[in-house]
Amino acid sequence: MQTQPPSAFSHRRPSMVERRSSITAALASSTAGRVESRTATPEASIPFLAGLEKPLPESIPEEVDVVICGTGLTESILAAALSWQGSNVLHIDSNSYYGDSTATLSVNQLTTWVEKVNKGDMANYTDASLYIPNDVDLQSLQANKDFGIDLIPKILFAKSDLLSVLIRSRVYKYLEFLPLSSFHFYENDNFEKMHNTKADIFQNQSLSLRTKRNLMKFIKFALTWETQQELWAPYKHRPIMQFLQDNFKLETNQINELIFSIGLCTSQDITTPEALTRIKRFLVSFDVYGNFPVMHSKYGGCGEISQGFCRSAAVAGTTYKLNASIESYDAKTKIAKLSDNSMIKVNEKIVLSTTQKSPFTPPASFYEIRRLTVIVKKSCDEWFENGESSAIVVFPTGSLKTQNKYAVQAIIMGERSGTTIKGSTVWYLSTIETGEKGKLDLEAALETMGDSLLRESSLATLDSQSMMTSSSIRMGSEFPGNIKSEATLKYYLRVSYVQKTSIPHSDVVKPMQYRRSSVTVKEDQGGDIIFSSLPSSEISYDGIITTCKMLYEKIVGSDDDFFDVDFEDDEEAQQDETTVTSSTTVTSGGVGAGAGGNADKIDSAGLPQSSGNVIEGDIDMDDNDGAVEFADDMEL
Amino acid sequence: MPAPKTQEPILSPYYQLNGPSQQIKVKYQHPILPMLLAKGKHIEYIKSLDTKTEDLTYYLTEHLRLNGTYWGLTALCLLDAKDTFNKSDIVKFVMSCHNKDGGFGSFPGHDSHLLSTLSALQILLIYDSLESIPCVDKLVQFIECLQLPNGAFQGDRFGEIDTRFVYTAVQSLAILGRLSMKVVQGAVEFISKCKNFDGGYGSVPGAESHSAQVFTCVGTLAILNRLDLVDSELTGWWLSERQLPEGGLNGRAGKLPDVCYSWWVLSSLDIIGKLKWIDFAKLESFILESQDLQNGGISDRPDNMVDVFHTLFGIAGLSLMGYEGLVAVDPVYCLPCDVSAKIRKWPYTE
Amino acid sequence: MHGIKRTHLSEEAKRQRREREASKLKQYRSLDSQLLDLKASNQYDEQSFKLTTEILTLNPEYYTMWNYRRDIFVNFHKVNLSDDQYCKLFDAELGFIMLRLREFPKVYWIWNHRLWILENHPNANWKMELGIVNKLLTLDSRNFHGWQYRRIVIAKIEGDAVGSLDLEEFAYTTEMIQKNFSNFSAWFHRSTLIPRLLSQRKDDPRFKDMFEFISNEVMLLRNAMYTDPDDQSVWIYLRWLLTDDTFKTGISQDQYVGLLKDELRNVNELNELEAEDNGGVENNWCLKTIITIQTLIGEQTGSDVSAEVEIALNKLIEADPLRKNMYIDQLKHNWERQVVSMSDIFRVSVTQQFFNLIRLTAFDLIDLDTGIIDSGTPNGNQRNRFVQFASLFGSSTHGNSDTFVFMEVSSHFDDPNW
Repeated sequence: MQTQPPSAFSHRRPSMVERRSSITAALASSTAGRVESRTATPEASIPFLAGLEKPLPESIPEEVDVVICGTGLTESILAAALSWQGSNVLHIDSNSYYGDSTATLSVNQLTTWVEKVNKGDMANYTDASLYIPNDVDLQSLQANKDFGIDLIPKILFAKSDLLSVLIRSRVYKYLEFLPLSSFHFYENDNFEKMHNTKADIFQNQSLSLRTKRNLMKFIKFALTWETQQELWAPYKHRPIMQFLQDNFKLETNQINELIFSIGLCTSQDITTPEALTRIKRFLVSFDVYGNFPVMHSKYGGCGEISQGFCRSAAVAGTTYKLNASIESYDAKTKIAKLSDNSMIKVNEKIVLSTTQKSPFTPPASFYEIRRLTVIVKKSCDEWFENGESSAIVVFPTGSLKTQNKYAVQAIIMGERSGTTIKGSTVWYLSTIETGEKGKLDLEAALETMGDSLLRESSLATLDSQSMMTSSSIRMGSEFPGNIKSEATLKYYLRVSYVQKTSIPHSDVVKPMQYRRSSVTVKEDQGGDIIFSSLPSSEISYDGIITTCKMLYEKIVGSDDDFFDVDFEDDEEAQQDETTVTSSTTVTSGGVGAGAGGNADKIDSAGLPQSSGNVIEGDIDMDDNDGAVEFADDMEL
Repeated sequence: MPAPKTQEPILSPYYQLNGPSQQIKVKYQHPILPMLLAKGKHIEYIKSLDTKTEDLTYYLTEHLRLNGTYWGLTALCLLDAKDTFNKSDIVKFVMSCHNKDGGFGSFPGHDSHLLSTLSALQILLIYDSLESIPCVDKLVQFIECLQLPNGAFQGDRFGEIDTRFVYTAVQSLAILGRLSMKVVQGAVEFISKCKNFDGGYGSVPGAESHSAQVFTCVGTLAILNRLDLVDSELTGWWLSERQLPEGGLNGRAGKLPDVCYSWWVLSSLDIIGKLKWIDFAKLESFILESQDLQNGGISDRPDNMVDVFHTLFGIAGLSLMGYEGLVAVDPVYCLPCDVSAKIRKWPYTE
Repeated sequence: MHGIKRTHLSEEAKRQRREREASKLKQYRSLDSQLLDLKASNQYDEQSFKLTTEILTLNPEYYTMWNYRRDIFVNFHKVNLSDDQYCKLFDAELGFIMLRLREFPKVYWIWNHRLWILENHPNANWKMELGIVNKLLTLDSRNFHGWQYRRIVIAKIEGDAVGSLDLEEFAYTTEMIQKNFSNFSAWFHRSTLIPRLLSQRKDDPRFKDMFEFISNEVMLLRNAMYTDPDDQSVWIYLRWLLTDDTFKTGISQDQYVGLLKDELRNVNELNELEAEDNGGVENNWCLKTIITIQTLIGEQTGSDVSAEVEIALNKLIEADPLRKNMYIDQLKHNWERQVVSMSDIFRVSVTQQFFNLIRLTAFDLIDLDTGIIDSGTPNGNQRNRFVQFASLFGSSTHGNSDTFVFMEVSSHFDDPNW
């Protein structure tokens, strides 16, 4: 980098071990999460997470290194990273729940949230509308804790920076992950199941031999595209479409599938290197943990993961407080006043999510994402892979009756995702199209999906009774065209809103630009206030860690030791667990295989179930690529 | 020693497309100087193995101790450092593994098994100490009793059947000079049935070809002077296909390379006279890349944990390729040639 | 150690690790010596049994303890328990083994113990065992222990008078191949089933007509080879399909030759596509397969295919340098099979192939550094070739010694015109 960083950051701040002798010792002792200086042991290792959780401290400390406002995903990862590094962190949220702008909300919370947005109390969220049909029992719906609606739904690639942080930080142990392998691609009034795995291409009867070869050839190329610059260099600033046509003899529909489905791009105009990065991301994620490229966390996405990091941060000593915000801050004395009137000295920085209540004006966010989320009264099993409960549906450019300019992406979550009730699914649709056009695109996509589903299941029982009446809830502007789709598809609720971000669309492949756009420092406060942007339009978690590292670097001086934590080898802990289990199995008799004469019984003998936590099942603790295969071993 | 826990990342279909070469890169690229075998380091490493008595692993591998001693001693012999071990200590240890049933276990108190029995005999042969065995007849009987009606051998009385045990039994009897028509006929018959259409051999009839199993089968046939039964063109082809672009050899189609196959594949090729059907220079650099230059020893692949098993088979592979300064190894017996020369060759003529 | 990353621990880290391990080490050693004592005194009881559970959990490769455990079953439990209790105990044992296998799926001793338990189980359920092996093969579809175990389990079920499971097994291999056609273990298993199915299951439409069957298999392979032309598994299986006696003798010669020619065309076509896309470099496996098929056609029709084989071998020497020496040997072999007359030499004399032949023979016979003939005297045919070759360069070698002839020829090897 050419520019010298501000003097305050010119030296890397001492690491945890340097600053704070033995966090291990401190944590192991009963000083509830608060860390005091002790005699240094140079190779302090951090103990296994489980069993170390302490009740949250009641009082707020008088002095901290960093105050973080907002428990959204970015801020929560930051809180955990900083506290494991050794910083004293106060993490507050003006909401009464964890998750802030990326929360997973109940119907009740969502209702309040929509009201807040429309009152203008939720920066960077606008134009929200919630609709619950009159045939739905509103009260029981709102009371039902089984619903979890992600404000910003996301999927996790099996090989991605967030996943490796989840593993390195051991936060994955708090969570449960489910596989997602079903990608649908809408074209010519038809949903195509994606055919871009080796097995799919091999089995597909509709592809000619030559097409099979061309597709595989491209896939092989994509895995090592960076090293074959001679091939793509002429297309560096040109669309991928052209590159694929010229070099791989692929037909338009195959190219579209690669760009929109595998690549999850939002526009055909995406440049060749960007698209290749995105396509490769899918390919290298395939079969890392199993026969699927993508996972999602159970019981909610960002909201669930951010809580995982908050728990980890708490273990490392972060103080938490909900319903709290900053009232004022004096950059000279570095004293912040909180909403409960307590005063706190901030040694270093205040990090603010743009959705949090604060006396500072958040930076403008220029980029819009239109979201439409519907809880549909249908299980949609036909869209899921066997044993799974989620799917991706993509509508490429120009595939909708609205002649959509940008792709509409949809994540479908079924009952087993733990976010909706039996016999229903949550559909998360989004587009980067703005204004009325964006709304129309999403409506058209919803309608298409509904029609297709009803056609497929041939259960199109039209119900003209469920029209809007005065008793149905309506907030914000009405849904255009909802009369038709409501006539065909029943649902519990639909919510639509615009989310803004300062991160340009599809910037996930340009880390430098991504970093710059995701973080804003308020210079008028002595540079002490840092705003973090809402997540980008990217459908996966990619980019989140980049933002976190940017924030971390702004505070610590360098991101070298970002989650550079040495957890105590918990292999032993695991082994001990196994010891217990196995001897119980033996002594209790008849547990496990052999007991019932039914092959399904073997699950109880310890084999992973396909529906189980995909990471927990097979992971190797050393943060390598996970699933294990055993080398052929031969002794003589 | 082979680790109880052996893990490698799963090979996804996509990964295989790329070929393992994407993953394992040979890093040493000096324009002029070739990478060399760190002989001194390896000797030190093997020497150090018996001093790690404070490590849990040391005790967890007792069931392999006699095998480990053979691997270490043979590696030292090939490095021309046979005297690194104290002969009388080793012979004493070997004899302390001798059991009443005539066979050897891998450690005092451990049960007899064909695998450890062969290791014991190989060590005793290296030290010219076969006369330490009090009752050779009983040992021969122990081995012969493990032969089954179909000619196969089980490893011990609990019935595991595998061509590995045919080899261990046959070489053991060969070292003792006690092969018999009955044993030989049965063994040859069983091994013939383990041959597959691709020219490889499996662990039992109907099992997939595996490089190590090719060695046990071809090695047995070599000891029994029945190489006429090997289709050397076909078997040679299958073996040569084990070499991967990065130079290392694998055990089966679509698997990662591993230094120990430098032995299983290369010795088999040598036995059937096709040693040159792989690229020596590339294999050599793969083995040398797998050395731990800091503490000595050779691992299965570059940058992995070393063990004495891979150390021996890396060095033995280099020896077969005529690497300078190594003692010649006999591809049939995995013993220094001057040691295997002492073995009486079948058929016995008297 | 297999697949474990190398780490160099500092002395301090080693010490810390030893400290952490110390109590475990002590526990293990005392457990071990206790067990060896009990074993030496033939103590077979519940206490010793429990201790074997403990030690095998810590060290599943400790074969002596598996042995001891089995002896306890036979000498203690079998004697003292009712049949029903004994069954239950063995069922529990299977559960224990499954836990060990899940953690260590490549330890021979555990697989062996499982088999022993089932074989000695008063009421073994081999069908359930098949379900278990299916699961394990889902976790690692290439585990050879798993495949081998599967074959044993199948044989047991078949032995229980269920009859042949070949059809089910065939379907299983299809399923595994559909999932990942790089799985050679599945292709191999398939190859062992097919001859039996074709001879014994004529009642099944798929196996009724051998020609139709083999055509279908070839189509399946064609799909695979176009999807990934570099996949060994597919080509090795194709080689089996084309060379196995089952098919060679099971269909008419016309059908067989037709099939070969059809496949030759197809492989050539794929090879051309490959060359087109890879800057003229042909596909190794296509070339290898072309040789196999050409040789088979030669055998069947009596036609001379050596020229075609030679072309392919020459290309392979360049395209697959790892196995260069094998191709050179095969080239010589191919050449020796030909009846070469002087007119043949003239006909091909100025072609690259001829040059290669001469060069190869020379490599075999003389040490180029020293010029010394090191493997005996060449035969008349070989000598004639060299004389002929030398004369192409205007050298007169008549009446000269062999050494001189070879030196003369080899002096042209570096000629850039060649």
